[in-house]
Amino acid sequence: MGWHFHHRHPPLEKTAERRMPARVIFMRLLKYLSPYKGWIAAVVLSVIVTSITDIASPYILGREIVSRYILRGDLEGLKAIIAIFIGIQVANWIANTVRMYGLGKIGQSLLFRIREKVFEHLQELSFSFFDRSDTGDLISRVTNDTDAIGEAFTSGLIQVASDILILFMTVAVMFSINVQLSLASMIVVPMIVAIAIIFNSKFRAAYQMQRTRISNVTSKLQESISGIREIQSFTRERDAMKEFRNANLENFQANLRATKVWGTFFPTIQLMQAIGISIVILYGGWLSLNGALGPVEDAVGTLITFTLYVGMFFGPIFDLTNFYNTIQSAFAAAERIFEILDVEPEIKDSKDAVEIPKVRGEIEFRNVTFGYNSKQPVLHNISFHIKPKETIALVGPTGAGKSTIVKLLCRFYDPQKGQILIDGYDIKKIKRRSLRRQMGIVLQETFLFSGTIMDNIRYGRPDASDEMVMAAAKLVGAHEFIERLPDGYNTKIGEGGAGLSAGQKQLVAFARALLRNPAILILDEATSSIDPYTDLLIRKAMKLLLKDRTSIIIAHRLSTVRDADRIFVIDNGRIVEEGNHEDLLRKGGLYSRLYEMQFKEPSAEAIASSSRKRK
Amino acid sequence: MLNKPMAFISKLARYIIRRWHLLIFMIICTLLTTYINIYIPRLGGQVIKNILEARDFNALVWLVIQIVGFTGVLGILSFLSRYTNGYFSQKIVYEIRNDAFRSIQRQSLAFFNKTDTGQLISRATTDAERIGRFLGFQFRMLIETSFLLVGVVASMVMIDLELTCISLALLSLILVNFSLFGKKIRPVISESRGHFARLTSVLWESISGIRIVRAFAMEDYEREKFKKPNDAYYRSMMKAASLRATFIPITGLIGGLMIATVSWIGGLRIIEGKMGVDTLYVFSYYAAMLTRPMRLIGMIWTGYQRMAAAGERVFQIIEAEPEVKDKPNAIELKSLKGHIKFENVYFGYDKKPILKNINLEIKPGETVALLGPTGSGKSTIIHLLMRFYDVTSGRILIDGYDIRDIKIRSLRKHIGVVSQEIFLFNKSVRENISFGKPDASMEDIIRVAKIAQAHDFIVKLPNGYDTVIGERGIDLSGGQRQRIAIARALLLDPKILILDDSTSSVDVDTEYEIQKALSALLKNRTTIIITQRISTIRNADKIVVMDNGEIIEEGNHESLMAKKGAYYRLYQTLYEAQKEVLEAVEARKKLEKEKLILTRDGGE
Repeated sequence: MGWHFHHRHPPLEKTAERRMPARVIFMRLLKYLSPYKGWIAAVVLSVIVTSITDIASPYILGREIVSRYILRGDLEGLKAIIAIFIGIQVANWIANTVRMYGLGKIGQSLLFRIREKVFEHLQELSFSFFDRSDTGDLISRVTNDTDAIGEAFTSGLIQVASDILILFMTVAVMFSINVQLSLASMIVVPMIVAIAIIFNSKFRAAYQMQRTRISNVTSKLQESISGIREIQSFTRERDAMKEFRNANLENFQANLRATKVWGTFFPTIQLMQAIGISIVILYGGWLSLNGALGPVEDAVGTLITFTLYVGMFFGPIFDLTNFYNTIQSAFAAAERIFEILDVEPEIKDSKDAVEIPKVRGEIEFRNVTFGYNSKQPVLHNISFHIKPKETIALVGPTGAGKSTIVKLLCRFYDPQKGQILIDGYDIKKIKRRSLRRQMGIVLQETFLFSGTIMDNIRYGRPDASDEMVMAAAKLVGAHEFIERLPDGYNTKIGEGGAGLSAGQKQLVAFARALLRNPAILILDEATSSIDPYTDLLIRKAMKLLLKDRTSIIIAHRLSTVRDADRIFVIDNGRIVEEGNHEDLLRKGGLYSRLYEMQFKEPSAEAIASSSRKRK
Repeated sequence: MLNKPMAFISKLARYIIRRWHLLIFMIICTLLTTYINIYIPRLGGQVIKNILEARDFNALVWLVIQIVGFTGVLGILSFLSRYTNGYFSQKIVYEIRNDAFRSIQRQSLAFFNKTDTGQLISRATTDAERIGRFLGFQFRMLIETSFLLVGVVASMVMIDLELTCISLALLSLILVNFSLFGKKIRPVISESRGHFARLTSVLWESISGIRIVRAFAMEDYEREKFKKPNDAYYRSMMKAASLRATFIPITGLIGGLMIATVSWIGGLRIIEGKMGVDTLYVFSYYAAMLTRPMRLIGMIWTGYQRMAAAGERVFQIIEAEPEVKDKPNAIELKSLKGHIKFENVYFGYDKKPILKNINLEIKPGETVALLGPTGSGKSTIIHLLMRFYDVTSGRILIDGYDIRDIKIRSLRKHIGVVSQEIFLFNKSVRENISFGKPDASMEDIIRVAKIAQAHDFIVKLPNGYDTVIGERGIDLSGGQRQRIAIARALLLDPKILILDDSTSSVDVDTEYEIQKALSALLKNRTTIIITQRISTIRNADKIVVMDNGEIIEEGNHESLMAKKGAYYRLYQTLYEAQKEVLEAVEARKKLEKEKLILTRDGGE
């Protein structure tokens, strides 16, 4: 699938290896710009105007105003040229305004469209994609990377175009005035280029260092606040202070280093400029003394024009040497975004898909084979039939394929072979949303959105009235604790809101599922530690939830398994046993062994899976 | 309103004055650079004069040598001034940050309940940085600009008063323009930051909650939810862009107009013979030099305001008084028997009492189980004993001493804690276990890990005891974290042990391991346990049942069961909830014993 995550952090370095050719990225970005052809034309035009007017000013000041009019005492001419000079300033001003506004318009619209497009695309992508990706990384791609493109691509490109324009035109104008003097003033150019390259890399290094050092400070601080109880109870304040001071000191040193780089940068430029100007003065003075620059009046004007031009070299050269880096990071950012956009959703509604009518809840798997990659099947030729309103418990060791069955039923994935039928409809021929609308899912790790409790319970059914929400909460036994919260149902949870315990979150999730009144309920039971009171509540709520609908539960609790109508024992992607608790125990097969293992022996997997490295 | 920033400035001044010699050095450097900056354009004027009139190449060479030489000296001086200033401002940030950190570490828990972690961090990092940026940039600019303004304007006036007035009039337009711009763009920027934050949080939620979004078929809803902040963000960014496009180019225009005016009037003077071209050159050069300070004055002012707000926030932390402090004559506890007594203890914030009239005596070596619903005050008892808070009235005695008369650190050194929400540091397992006793030997660490039933899983971790755990390390299960915390407390070998263990495990593994670990922990020390774990409760010397901040029953398991009161009912509920797990654990213990016997038989 070509999806790798080499860089979690938006990299500034060249180490970010690009897999897409620059030309391809460039062309794709250009495509996003096509709706703004008018603005682009305006910006290009205004760049040309600003460049010309920027270059015209020194010429007019030196060769025209000083030489031709002031020194020669031509008052009328002076009046006229000043008027022209003002006209040029006004043109420069208007063009600058247009350029800045146009760049903002193009850049921001580009960002807006990319963000929207990526978000919409994410909503379409299949689960397998999210299984493979890291949330933080995705978010950083949508936010930081788009911003990086905006800055570097739009203004970067325009900047470079205008820099090149200015450099060439300046040189052309200088040569048209005097070739020898132009050549002499070019002597400093290689030095400026060298300085620009050296300082650009120094700046980047210093900046990089500052960033890592400050993030060290932040994480030390974060840790010492989150662990404040431990630090105070174990009386380790002094050591915490020492660690922090070290991180802080390193940050101080990094900042000082950056100061040193900046502190040497400006004086070096000034010195370069002084040297450039001095060469112009010396050589120009010598030429003038020999009469090579024409009359004295012209010589003075020419020298003023040239010294002003020498000062104009630095900015563009500095930008140009940095352009490679700027565009490099813009392309790297663009590539990370295109990588998302290029992932095809694996599951789409087929063209002839139909809306499924009200579901009774009959489920059938017919010879279903499936694997997350086609070579390694996780489910082998599974077939079963569930009657409406039955409660089925799925039991089996970790990795047996229990949750895969559930995921296939929700059509988060499609099977490689076989058919899944709901009420006799092949689910591949049903519109996905019309199917999911009639299903309720409670996952082991409860996810609640930031917002009020009311909003969260209502999530699956936005049109439900407050009374309906409360009724659902009462049924699952969540009402009591919700009422006790500071703002009752209007208490905000999630970021910046009240924290709920794991058990309370689960009760809210139950209410959310119940409010939808789904025909088919899928439940992944929690194994995490919750306090015994809540545990009892949850067990009661579950019984209620399971009533009057088809339910499939990935069961971890003994009580659930015992209460199920039927138990499917899954092993190695096959259903190896089936029946109720007593039948299966009596049989003395895998179930009874599993029962021993899962509920009576420590499972090796529990240790193995818990020591897995976090993603 | 003016009062506050002044108070803050005097606090900041303390840090500045501590480095007065750096400040003086920097000011001297700046004075010299200003002088050279004003002198160099005159050399340029002399060059023009030389070419026009004297036409003396040797003099020209001498002028050029001066220009380069002075620029070199200027470079050295300005480097010195910048570096000194950088050192000075960064050092102050460094000190302020250390002080903020020290103050945070000293705060009692009430402080952390009131303050949000993110807030604290941003104050100690971003806000402190803001002070540094002001001192390192705007403050330097203030000094440079004021010197430059005085020097340059004086030089200009000496050349031509009228021309100076006209130029300054035009230049002040730049000042007006920039302060207007600053005023308009600030709210837009902060608005766009808000939109961006909302955009990120919507994005974060819809990606981390993608399974729920899909399962509930709410994709369209999410799309709409994203559209709003995305739209708003775009609009505010466009507003900022158009403000920039409106205001920034005007500066260039004003500069151009000023040059045009100076050239026109100066030109007239020259033609009339009242001024030389060289003088006009010098004058225009000076006028151009003033555009930068004009742009900066507005920035300096906003920089100051922001810094004052940031500084206010930082100093609030630095000056926060911890609620719990050592008395001046507090005593050091050398050793401890572990006798604890609560006498008529009341505790509460505002008017809401959390604990009411608590009387409790725990003899050395006893194990006490605290029982009761969430919010009944169990954790508060522990927090008071640890002196995370001070009692509102009444007193707590340890070995007969009021704990407020004991040095906090020496009190806590004798108490080992395993708290409910276990925090592990982002360090190796070994460092986490030896957290309370950093110089512990490896043998000791392994010994306590074995007692806490943690050794077996630790050695199975990728790098054994050197495996890094915590936020950016390996993820451990709740039970594993708890066992590491138990080992951590055990290593201290404290006379008093506190265990907050309010969850009972639903899964058998954890229950089994923890039961084993606990029994080792309780030996030979005074122990207070908050627990729902039936196995622990039954074995406690004393059970204290709490409700609503009061002790409602006290006694051992048998006596309380016989009473058929609150404890009896609570026990029934807990038992029902834990029955399955307990049975399974018992079965496993039996199995283990049989195996043990089997292996013993086989071995001997």
